[in-house]
Amino acid sequence: MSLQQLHQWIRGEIDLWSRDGLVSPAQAETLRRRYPVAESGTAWGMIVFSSLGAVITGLGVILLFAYNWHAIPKFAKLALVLGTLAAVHGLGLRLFLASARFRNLGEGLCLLGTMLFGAGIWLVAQIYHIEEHFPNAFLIWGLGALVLGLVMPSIPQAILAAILLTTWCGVERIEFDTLMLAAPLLLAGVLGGMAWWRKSRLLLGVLLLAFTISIIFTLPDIDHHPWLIFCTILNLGVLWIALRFLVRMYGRFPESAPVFGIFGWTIFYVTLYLLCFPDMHRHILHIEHELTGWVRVAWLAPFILTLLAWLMVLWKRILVGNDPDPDAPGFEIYLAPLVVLLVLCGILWPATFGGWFLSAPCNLVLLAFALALMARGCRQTQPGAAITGSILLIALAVARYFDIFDSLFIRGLVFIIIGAVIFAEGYLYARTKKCKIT
Amino acid sequence: MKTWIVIGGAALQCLVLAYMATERELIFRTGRTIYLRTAPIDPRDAFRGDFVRLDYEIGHATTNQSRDGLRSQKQDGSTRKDIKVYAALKMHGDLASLDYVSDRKPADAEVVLRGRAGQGGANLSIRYGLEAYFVEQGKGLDLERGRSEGEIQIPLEMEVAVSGNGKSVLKGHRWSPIGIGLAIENDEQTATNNLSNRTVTNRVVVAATLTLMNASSNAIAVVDLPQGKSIDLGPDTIRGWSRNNWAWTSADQQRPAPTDADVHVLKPGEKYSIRIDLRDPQWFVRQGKEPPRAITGLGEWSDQFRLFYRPPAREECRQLQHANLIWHGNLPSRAFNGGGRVD
Repeated sequence: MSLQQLHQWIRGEIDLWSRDGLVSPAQAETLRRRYPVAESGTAWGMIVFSSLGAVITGLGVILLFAYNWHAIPKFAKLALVLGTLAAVHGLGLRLFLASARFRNLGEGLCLLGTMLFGAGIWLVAQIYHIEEHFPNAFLIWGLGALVLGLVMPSIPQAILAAILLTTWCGVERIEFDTLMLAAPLLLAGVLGGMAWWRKSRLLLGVLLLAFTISIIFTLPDIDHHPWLIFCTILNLGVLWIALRFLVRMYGRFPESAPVFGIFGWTIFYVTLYLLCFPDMHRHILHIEHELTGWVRVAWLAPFILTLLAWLMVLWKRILVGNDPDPDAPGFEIYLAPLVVLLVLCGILWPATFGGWFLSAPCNLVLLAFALALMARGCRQTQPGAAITGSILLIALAVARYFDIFDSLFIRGLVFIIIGAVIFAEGYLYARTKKCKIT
Repeated sequence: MKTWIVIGGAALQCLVLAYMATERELIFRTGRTIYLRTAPIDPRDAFRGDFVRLDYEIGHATTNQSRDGLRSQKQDGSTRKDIKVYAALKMHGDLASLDYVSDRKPADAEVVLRGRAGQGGANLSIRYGLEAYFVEQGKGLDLERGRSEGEIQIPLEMEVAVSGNGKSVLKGHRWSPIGIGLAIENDEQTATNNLSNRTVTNRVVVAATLTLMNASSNAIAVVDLPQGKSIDLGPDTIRGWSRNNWAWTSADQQRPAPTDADVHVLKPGEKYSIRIDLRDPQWFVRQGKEPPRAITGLGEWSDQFRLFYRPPAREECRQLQHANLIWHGNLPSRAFNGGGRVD
């Protein structure tokens, strides 16, 4: 039961006590003030359905125009799209600005307007057979959504802008081999600022994904340096984990910590798992060609940022001892920046011992994480930690199934032990939970 | 104040769309109309529906056609993928062909088109933003299939409006009034393989017959000057990618003045053929200062050539009986190589 639901239940009880004469009306009012209930929460249903409706209707309009009826004269098509765009935006803004009641509906209509704006760009391109550098259409569309997202301000418009700017950046890279640094800068600087200012976890989540993808699209010379992609993803993942702790200690948006945490840990566990395979070091994580200036910058900038962020975490959590997070994990978290340093060593030194120089310590780190998460899950009755730890342990056993455990007897034994550990974990978890309740 | 800013944000989207449409509409209405020959390719776009992708003849420029900064870039092979270029076009009636391409705006050109260039094999590949022709869904296939009568191909010509600053808009299309076909005569040639010391038999081209067909609904006249002088030979600059710089030895030869006997009036659907013997020294090619040689059996298969039907200019034909029926465009054949392979 959430706190809001609990307060509502207590308020219901207070009404009964007041009716039965157990408390006076004045006392009842004092009690009610102790258990406040929000007048109205965020109308998520309205936001989600109006946004989804707007996006799907907009896509429908784009496809309808794509049919390209010759029976409709071009000026009629232009008038139709411009008129519809103006009408939808007009109605949307009227509702958005007029009253709080229709604000979300107005926001949804304005999102439909921005979808129609995109449809209009493709329609004008279709009417005049424009084939000039087509990624520009995504840029113009994205900037239109960005401007409206900022001035309204509107989270759905900002999310659409993030998707379109990432698409622009990706298409420029894939089709024209052009690096568009403006995309991650706009995402982090403008939309990131908006997410922070509006305290929107949803926008922040979309931005973390969009930023990571757009940064990968702007990495230079990846044909000669494929390891740069892996290092960047790992560095960003570990940086998000550091930010998960820092935002709780600083700033005005501590609620963003779980968003950074989910993205950071997911990226970290996946990259750590890949590092457990010696082939990663042998075939990908080594420098074969000379490093240009831009490759050095793209490699070292996120690396240095990550280390600085972790130094701040270390200083704040250990030296100052000021961590407001009661559910903060233990010391195993410091293994994350250690993996970043290990990968740096792996890249600088050639793959020795058949790639095990890097993958052996990574296997141990993954095992440490698995055991630490399972232990914390049981001790603090955190089901998420217990399940993640179990998955990591099973994944590690599967990874080593072929190259360590030669004999079927040992393979069988290992799986029996892991099964027993997970059974024991389940038992300990249930017992701790029972103790806490009693 | 805030209300006006929000309204301004929405109005901006409408203004951007209106600007895009107005800019193109102005070129459409006031720009000079020219025709560009092209070959349709395919496909479909997720956002804009069916379209025909167009591969223009002027979309390919050789080293000799590159000028100013492009020339030095071509020589050191360092042409970037996407550089702004200007194409200077020369006109044959209303049909335009590429004269040269430069990274500076030409002052002397009759018509200039703005585009973006990148390396395309040995040639420069240029995009003008005219490469997609959007049609109603399901109508693209007719254009893709093209018009052909057996071996005769009828080129597609796109109607383009060009503004003074080189920006252009596609207006429509038409089919060329004349179709062209190429038939190759091959022979067998024996040679000794130096490695295996064995005698091998190769197929080689010895002669070519160019057939012109009236593909319009009116009578059209073609001009066949004596000794095939209405035909030019040249390396395939349209889609060829050979790095050998072949030149036709008779390119600078004076052509005789046309007479009424050289003019052949073709009824709609009627054909006229011109045969040339490629072993005749008139049709020899050379590379730099090397001695001239026949195309026949020319080694590398990528060394491709085209025959061009190039009738005399309008001024030269003014005194002829059927002057008003003569078609004055320039028409390339399909590409072929010394081994008798036709593209």
